[in-house]
Amino acid sequence: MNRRLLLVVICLLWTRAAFARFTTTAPKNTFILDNTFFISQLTTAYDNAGHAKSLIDKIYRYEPGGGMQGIIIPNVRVDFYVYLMQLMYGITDSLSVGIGIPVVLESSVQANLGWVPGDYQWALGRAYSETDFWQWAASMGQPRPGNWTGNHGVLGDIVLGVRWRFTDLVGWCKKHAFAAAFSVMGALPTGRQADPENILGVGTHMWDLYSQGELALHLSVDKSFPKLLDDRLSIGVDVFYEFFFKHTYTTPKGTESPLLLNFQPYVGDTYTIDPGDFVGAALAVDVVPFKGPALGTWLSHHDKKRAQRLPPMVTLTFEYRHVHTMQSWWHSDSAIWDWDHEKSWRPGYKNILAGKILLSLLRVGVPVELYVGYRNQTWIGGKNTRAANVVLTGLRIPLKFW
Amino acid sequence: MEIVLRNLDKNAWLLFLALVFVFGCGTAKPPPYQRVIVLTGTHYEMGFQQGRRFKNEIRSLYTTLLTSSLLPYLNREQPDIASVLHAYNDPKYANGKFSYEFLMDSAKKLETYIPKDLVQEMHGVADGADFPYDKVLLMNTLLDAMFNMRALTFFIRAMDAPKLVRVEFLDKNGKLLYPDKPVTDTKVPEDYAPSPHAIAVEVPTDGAVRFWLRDQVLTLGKTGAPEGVDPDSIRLQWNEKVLHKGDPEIAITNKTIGKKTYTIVTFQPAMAHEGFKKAAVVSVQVQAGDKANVTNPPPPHAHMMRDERIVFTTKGYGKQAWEVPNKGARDPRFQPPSTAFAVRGSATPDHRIRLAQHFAMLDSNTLHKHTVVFFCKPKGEKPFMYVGWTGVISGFAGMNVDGLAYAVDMSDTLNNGMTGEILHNLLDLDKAKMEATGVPGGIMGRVLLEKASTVEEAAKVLKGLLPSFGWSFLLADAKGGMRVVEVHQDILKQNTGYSTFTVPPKDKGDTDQHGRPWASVGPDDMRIASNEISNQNDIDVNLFGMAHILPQRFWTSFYFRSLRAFYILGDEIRGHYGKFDVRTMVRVMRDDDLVDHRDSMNAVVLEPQTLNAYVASGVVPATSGTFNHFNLGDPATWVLGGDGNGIGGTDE
Repeated sequence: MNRRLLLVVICLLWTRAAFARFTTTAPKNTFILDNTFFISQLTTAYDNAGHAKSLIDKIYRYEPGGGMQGIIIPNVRVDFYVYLMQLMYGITDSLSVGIGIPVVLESSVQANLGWVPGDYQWALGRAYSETDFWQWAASMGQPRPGNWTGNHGVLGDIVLGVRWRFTDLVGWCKKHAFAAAFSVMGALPTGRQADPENILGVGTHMWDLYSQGELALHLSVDKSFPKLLDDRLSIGVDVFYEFFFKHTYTTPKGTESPLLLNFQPYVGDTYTIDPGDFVGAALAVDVVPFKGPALGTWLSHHDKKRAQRLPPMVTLTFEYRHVHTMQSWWHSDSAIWDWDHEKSWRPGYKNILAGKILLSLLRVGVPVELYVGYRNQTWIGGKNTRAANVVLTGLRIPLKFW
Repeated sequence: MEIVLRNLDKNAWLLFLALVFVFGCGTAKPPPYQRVIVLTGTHYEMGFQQGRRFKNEIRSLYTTLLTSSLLPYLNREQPDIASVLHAYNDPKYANGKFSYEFLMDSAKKLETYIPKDLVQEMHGVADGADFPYDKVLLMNTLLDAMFNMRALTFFIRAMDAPKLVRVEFLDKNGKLLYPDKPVTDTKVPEDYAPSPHAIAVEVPTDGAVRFWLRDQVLTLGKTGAPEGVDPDSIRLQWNEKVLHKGDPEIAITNKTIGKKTYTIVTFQPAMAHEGFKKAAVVSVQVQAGDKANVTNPPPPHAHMMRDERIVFTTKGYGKQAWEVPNKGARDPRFQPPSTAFAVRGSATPDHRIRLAQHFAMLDSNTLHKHTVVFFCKPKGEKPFMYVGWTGVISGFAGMNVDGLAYAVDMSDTLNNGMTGEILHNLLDLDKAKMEATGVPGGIMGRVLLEKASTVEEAAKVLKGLLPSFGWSFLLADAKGGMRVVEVHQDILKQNTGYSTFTVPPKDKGDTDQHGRPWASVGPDDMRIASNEISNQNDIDVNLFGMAHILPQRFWTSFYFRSLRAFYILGDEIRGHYGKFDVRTMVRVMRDDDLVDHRDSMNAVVLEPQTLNAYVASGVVPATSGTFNHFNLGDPATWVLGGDGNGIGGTDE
């Protein structure tokens, strides 16, 4: 079989997968290489009452015995630039395995510290201004936290996955354009923990990215309407449970921030975080506004009819995802310290709205699909969660070598 | 049907298990910030039990309060202190160790005044927690050393700052009405003295008040001339209205008389076509800074005087000056200090005696997370309870099983051990060090609980102890006795270190010069705040012109706010006379004018006759929390949260 023919076969097989986004598998003996570039921006968190707040709680600072100096308002902004390479391989048409390799290209944290003056200090003749406070802090050995940039080209947690579209065994499902699949994904701890002494540093583990669990179980259903709506609509539902595992971290000793990160004497040398699992569901709708021309190219063996079975040129995807986040637990020698962290990570939820536009060039003889997307967590508020908004763009290529 | 039900049951169980699996992982809850512990045995054993139980909280308190806050804070004072007291240039105090070694010097001195069995208890804490004894000692003596040091620091700062030296009252034509002695071409009679009462009465509504300010410079170990009062820094608060330079009510001029330059602030509301309100009490606060730019310790600042507050009446008010309390007006810049009061007989609906205290001093977002209600059954001694903190073996309120209850408030004084040490070495400042001496205030309370059963016994015990600082004790007992004892160290041996009074008055010392009880509005109440009440001249010594060590009312920043709290509390007691059950006492403590929203530490209501104790702690302010109910006679209530019969918090 020559290479052109291989691609034709791939593309013909691909048509089935194009709509069925939650149940997509790679055709047998085929690779699908998906390269995505994410820009994730995180500025907002939601508190226990569901109110938007800054990522880090306000820090109330006190003069020993002199009341409140003021309130540090950390309007923190965290940016992640991530490249994700996903490779899916079809063992059979119904069973695929995959690997996802995230590489953090850069993380940056801007502290954007604001200040609300506190009590009048009679010895100063005024309340502390922001400048006053940081001069005071510097005299105590605590420098003002600056912005931080790091994680240049650092590997995140590699994800391995398997998906089985079991409805392929059921003729009725095929006939009625139903597809259901079960997926399992597991993360390998290949990421990097943040420098404990750096007050603004971030790591690259799943827990740091907080978008997916370390072991994910998904059950998904897709339904398309090939006859009724000219194959221009597909609806998918995904329910999932995602586990996080307990991890151990080194307690900072305050070598860089002696006032703010001096926990080791009572927290212990290490502490563990047992992040709360995710459980949730997603509803997705694919709409085809433009199918495009079906050219008889080398991909379709110069057969227009075959070309019509290739994916439409433009597909719009809209998705709503609700994720219930469970309590994250800190375990250290200090119950007080544990609670100081746990209270921001009580059970909650996040509401994610996403949209994607996919441009498929297969019908015109180019074996590439391009897409751009946007994922938002702040249009519908959440609770006890951090809300990252993500812009992404990617390129998908089918490959077959034998 | 049975099979169906059984299956339903089974399904329900499966559903339940699934829900537990999915959602049942729980929600984190805050740990109890008000802990309860029962200690028994010898003092060492009691300490050991505490140390073992609070091993982590002791470390947490030490780290968050000392390592991350107080120690670096005090380190900043080293250059200033070492410039006068050269012993602090020793390498022992170098490399950031100044504050620790400085406090440890005092701790070691104070330790020698602490009863041996209580020293053993501290050793027990250290051993139980596997924590260095020196650090436990530091935690138990910290406040006393800090108060000593702060008093000196306040005083020294005041000597570098502008000073209000004279207040004149004038009629609308500028004729001097008060004081009698006028300013001459060569001399300004510097006769202003802070007063707990009005300093002038029946002032005309179109009259003026003239404040004479003079900048000073501390000559002890330094040289230089006063920088002069910065007119832009002058702040006047007329009742609740704040005035600055440029406001029509005030005029600022400078005048040199003799060798001294004065800044004169003339305050005359009539200049703004207002005038003073007729037949009213008027409060005016004045504050100013000099033109210095002190950069160490940061942030840069001028030398600021404390707010001085005077009160006077206008024509038609009709009372004598001593009848008009210096209560002042609300000033949101300042928090009220610790207060306590006791009621009985006609003040209460059931004639029972009760004692309440809201202790506020230092929280720093830390201490409230480490509070403990201690129940102690020492071997061979009477059981008692007190309210304290992890790692600390004493508190500022407590009660024993005989029904003796105490509350103690700090009362700033320069008549303290640290001043004594400096005076002792005044002629050789190379040797002088700032070291506190005497029995720490909390430890004095512990001694009372172990040695006394009545207020009279307690007063005698207190008389026999050398106090580390100025402390005001409010005592109450099961027999209905109540008494205030004010102590300081009496470093000049002038027999001024101990004064006490009770109600109803029994002897001359129980009333002021006008025959009024010192701290009561009726026959069955007493109260204290954080100022000297009967012993208003705790120290007054002139050091050969180098410095004049003055009574507390002249320098402490607590004085005027304490007076205000003291008088407001008096009004509250008057307003609720005869109604003081526990709830009413709590309600009074929650009066916003009496609540320190920053450094509140704990609040209690103690009933000596029934041994009931209602304790609020673990939140800031403590008074907003639940007053958990315990009974010293009923060990079943000595548990977390008490027996559930407490008084709910303000958000419940």
